[in-house]
Amino acid sequence: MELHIWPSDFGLPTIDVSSLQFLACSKMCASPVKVVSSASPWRSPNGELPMVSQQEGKAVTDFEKFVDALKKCGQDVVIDADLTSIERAQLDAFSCYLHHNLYPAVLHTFWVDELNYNTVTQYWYASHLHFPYNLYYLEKRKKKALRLLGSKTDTEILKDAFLALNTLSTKLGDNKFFCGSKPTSLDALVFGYLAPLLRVPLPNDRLQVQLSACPNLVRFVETVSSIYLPLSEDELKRQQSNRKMWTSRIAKAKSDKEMARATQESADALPEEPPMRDAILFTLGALTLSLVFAVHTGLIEVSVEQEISE
Amino acid sequence: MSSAGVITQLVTDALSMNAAQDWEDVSLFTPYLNDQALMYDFADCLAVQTFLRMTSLPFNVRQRPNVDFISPDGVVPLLKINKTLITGFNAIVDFVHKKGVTLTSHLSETQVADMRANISMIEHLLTTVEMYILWKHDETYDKVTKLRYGSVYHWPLCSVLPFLKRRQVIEELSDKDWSSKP
Repeated sequence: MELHIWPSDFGLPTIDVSSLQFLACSKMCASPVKVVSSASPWRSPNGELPMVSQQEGKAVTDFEKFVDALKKCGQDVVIDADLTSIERAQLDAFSCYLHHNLYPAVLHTFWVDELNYNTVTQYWYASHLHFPYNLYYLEKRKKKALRLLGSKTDTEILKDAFLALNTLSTKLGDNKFFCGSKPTSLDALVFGYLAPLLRVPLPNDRLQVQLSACPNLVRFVETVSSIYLPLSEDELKRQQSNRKMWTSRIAKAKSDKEMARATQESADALPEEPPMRDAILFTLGALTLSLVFAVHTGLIEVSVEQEISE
Repeated sequence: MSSAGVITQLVTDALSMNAAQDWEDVSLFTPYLNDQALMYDFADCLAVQTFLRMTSLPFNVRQRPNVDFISPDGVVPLLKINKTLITGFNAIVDFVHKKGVTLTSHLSETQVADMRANISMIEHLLTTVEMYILWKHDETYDKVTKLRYGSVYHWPLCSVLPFLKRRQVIEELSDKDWSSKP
């Protein structure tokens, strides 16, 4: 099996939510999947990464099918093997809950929020894909995100996400993983949703602030990434060199936003004060025009009397 | 908008719902349950009715043919208290919870978390499956969905509106990657 995922950056092995979920899941059961970092999503049957290509059969792009495939490939560590059927049901329930409550907010943060999209997402994907294709791909993904969010407003999405984060935090409690001491596919899913929020620096960080208010979730992400997804030295070095560029980019975006808001505020503030000068000028202009009109039509006659001298 | 901005917005929204008002003159608007409502709408209406009976809050059910146009965001059922409109099962449960009436007071936090996950799974998974069957499967659409959905309209509308709705639902399903599932 080969797992094709987006390249790594920002201290993450891959920056995309579902790529992270696939990767975390395969690492958790120590499967011998060959990980290929790829930037050619057109190879996959649905035009999206991650994709798992197998020797026989079709390529898999669905998380549940991937978990099934992992279970069948005859490893020593089988994921979700020790769970009771009640726990399994809970697992399904939570994965559905997260997909409908947390995922929209993550999508919104990365793809719909203009500031984040322009500063980070668009730049990252555009610099990893070829020129004409990147325009098409970015537009396609953004449109899809917008359609998925539908008619919900920003506040509704964030409210759902805050509630979901609190629910997750309660569910995790002081445990190491969500179902006791062994990782399950749910842990991979949660890790995929949360890690990009924690690691990718964003100018607009409403969701990140809320997430860092749940210390056990932060600890969970740190644990999973240090145990299962450590980065190699080369990657760390390369990412370190890029970091400065990203920090300056984000600082610039933030200052631009501040500037925009300041000018907006001053623009709002201006009409408040009475435009006295304009009023005076207008009055003068109007008076002059009336006078000229009156003189022209003969309402006022101006006669010049010449003083006769001598 | 900063993080503080969102919290302010949330509080304002919550206050504007005016949860402190008296529970009187409450009506629940539903589609015609016997002739018009589709499976998933019927389920939601029934769920809300059951929930309100469980909490023993008084209300009267009013069946109207055009509830999805009465409702501000197209979600049924619709609960009306004085001048406040609340749509959808979750929002109604939330509202009742804000009034201090709750069915989950004996559960621990973890159990509430589990319950929320289960509710969400049932709601989304079953609704999507029912939508798929009702709108995507040709025979069911012709024999059931079209007739029920169009039953309240007169001639030209009774075939045009189901057609439009079908197109919309199929688009929604394909966005959820459900259009191709066998």
